[in-house]
Amino acid sequence: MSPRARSAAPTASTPTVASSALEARDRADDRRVLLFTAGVLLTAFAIGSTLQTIFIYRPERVATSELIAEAPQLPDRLMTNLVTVAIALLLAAFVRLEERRPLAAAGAVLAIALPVALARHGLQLLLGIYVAPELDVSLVEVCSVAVVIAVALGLALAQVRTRVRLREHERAEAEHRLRASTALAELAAEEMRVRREVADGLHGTLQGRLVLSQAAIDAIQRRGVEEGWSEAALAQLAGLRRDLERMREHDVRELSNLLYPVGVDVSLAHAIRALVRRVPAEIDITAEVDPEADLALDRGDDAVAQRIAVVRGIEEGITNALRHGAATTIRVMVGVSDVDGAGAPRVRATVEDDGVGLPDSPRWNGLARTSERLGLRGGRVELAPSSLGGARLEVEVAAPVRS
Amino acid sequence: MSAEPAIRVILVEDQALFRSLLSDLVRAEPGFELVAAAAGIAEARALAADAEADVVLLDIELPDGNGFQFGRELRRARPGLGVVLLSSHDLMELLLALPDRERAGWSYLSKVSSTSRETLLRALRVSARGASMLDPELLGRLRPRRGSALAGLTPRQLHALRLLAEGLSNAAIARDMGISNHSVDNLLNAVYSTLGVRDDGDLNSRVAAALHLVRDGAPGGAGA
Repeated sequence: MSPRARSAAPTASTPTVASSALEARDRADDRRVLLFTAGVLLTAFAIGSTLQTIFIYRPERVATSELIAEAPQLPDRLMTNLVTVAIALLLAAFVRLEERRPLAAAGAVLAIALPVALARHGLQLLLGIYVAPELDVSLVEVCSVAVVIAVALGLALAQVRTRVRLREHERAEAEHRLRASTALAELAAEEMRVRREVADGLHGTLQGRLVLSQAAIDAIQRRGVEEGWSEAALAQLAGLRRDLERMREHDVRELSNLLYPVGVDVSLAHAIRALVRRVPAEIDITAEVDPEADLALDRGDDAVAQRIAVVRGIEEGITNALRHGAATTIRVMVGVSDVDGAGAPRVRATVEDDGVGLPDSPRWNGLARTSERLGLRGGRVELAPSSLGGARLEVEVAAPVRS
Repeated sequence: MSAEPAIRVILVEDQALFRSLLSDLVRAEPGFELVAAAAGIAEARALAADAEADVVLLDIELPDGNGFQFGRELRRARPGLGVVLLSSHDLMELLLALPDRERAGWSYLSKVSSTSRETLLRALRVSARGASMLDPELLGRLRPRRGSALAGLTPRQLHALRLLAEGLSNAAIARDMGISNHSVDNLLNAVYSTLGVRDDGDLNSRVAAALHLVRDGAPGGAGA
């Protein structure tokens, strides 16, 4: 009869070294719990029953002097009971009780309890605790001890089973969370890769072609001037060149930036500087980025996506300060907030402005998108009045824990 | 008397036409030597390992990574190497990401401004000797941001700062502005003072002042 191999989710693949080690650790842990629980129960019973036998359950009231006279029996009785406990525990460990199926375990419990109870009674006879007892006395003694051992082992087994169920449930939950998180990370990485590729294509290939087209138009313009083309034709060419320039400098750049903010692959601070520089000169805007915040988002597979989330949040704050708040002064501050209980720093960005303040009914559709985007990354966004007189947008994301 | 040693150039540009044009330009110019030309970072890294160079002419948007980051990597291995960045856009704020001790020797040129052959060669020379030069046309478009220290400069001071950022020496600024060298000194001292740059006579004070222009200047104004 071989012990049942415990495996919550047997797989067709060969178990890895790590999973084998984990299973071995689980088995050792289960055995410890079984032996500890059964040991505590049986030892408590052993001590209690010894004291009860001598001092409490007496057929008649006895004098203190008689109790003292019987006290020398105490060590023998206690030793007998403790030896019984040790034998029961040794047998339970030997047959790997905790690894057996319920029916087999029940059989094993009985197979342990009866012989151990018999052995105990034999020991009692040997030590003279009982001298030629009657059969019914021996039967009561053996049966009651067998029941106690069976109950103690049964309770210990129940404790082990409960722990195993809890552990398997927790592991299944953790695996589920890990799978979901891995799938999300892979999806995010793929999205980043595609965004980057498209942005690079816009920046590089398309931009390059537009530049060459502009150069070609320049050459045609020069030829036109030399050959005396009409003013209208030259003006048309100049207009076409302006359109290309606007498309290249503004449209393509904005599109590329929407996909992948400028400088976000370099650092958070750089992406924010690039963002702030684009704000018209008439706006008094400053950005202060704590190097610690830059450092918090400088590594890890998710770093660029985290930076993008922060930059988008700041962009939302600036856009709304200008569009809805008519602000003339904007202050951007980025730092690392208090470390939370898990030891992970949180990068916090605030955008404050001196505009008209919070709208009566929020029309910031972008805010909902920003909130959703940040929520997926364990972050948040909050809109509140600013000490500058306008609105204060606060954006926060959890940074990866640094080893 | 021996001639000045040639400035050795590494070129990294992914667009074949640009790479070919730039290679021809550098090769044809007396006093310059093209030691390697690569289409991407991986190729450049391999070529640069065996090539002694004074300056690298580096496109920022490369297919296998960011040219700016690669420039920093090269500089860590060769602190004396000059770096001239090239881009289709005004990404001059990239230079603000450099720590103070690394700022010398970096220049920035736009591919699509009126960058001429002379401007490009000047940027290579300036960076090779550890100074900096920023794209003149992009600088001309910058407008001081309201509320910044840059907005506190007079038009003359701003003009002098632009020329400084273009990599011009004090004598060249004096010639351009039609004033004496001494007046240029005074003008630049006033600029340093307004911007809070310490004039310690070090090359870095000029670089720091030029970067103020990048940080507090909003692009998009009319060309100068």
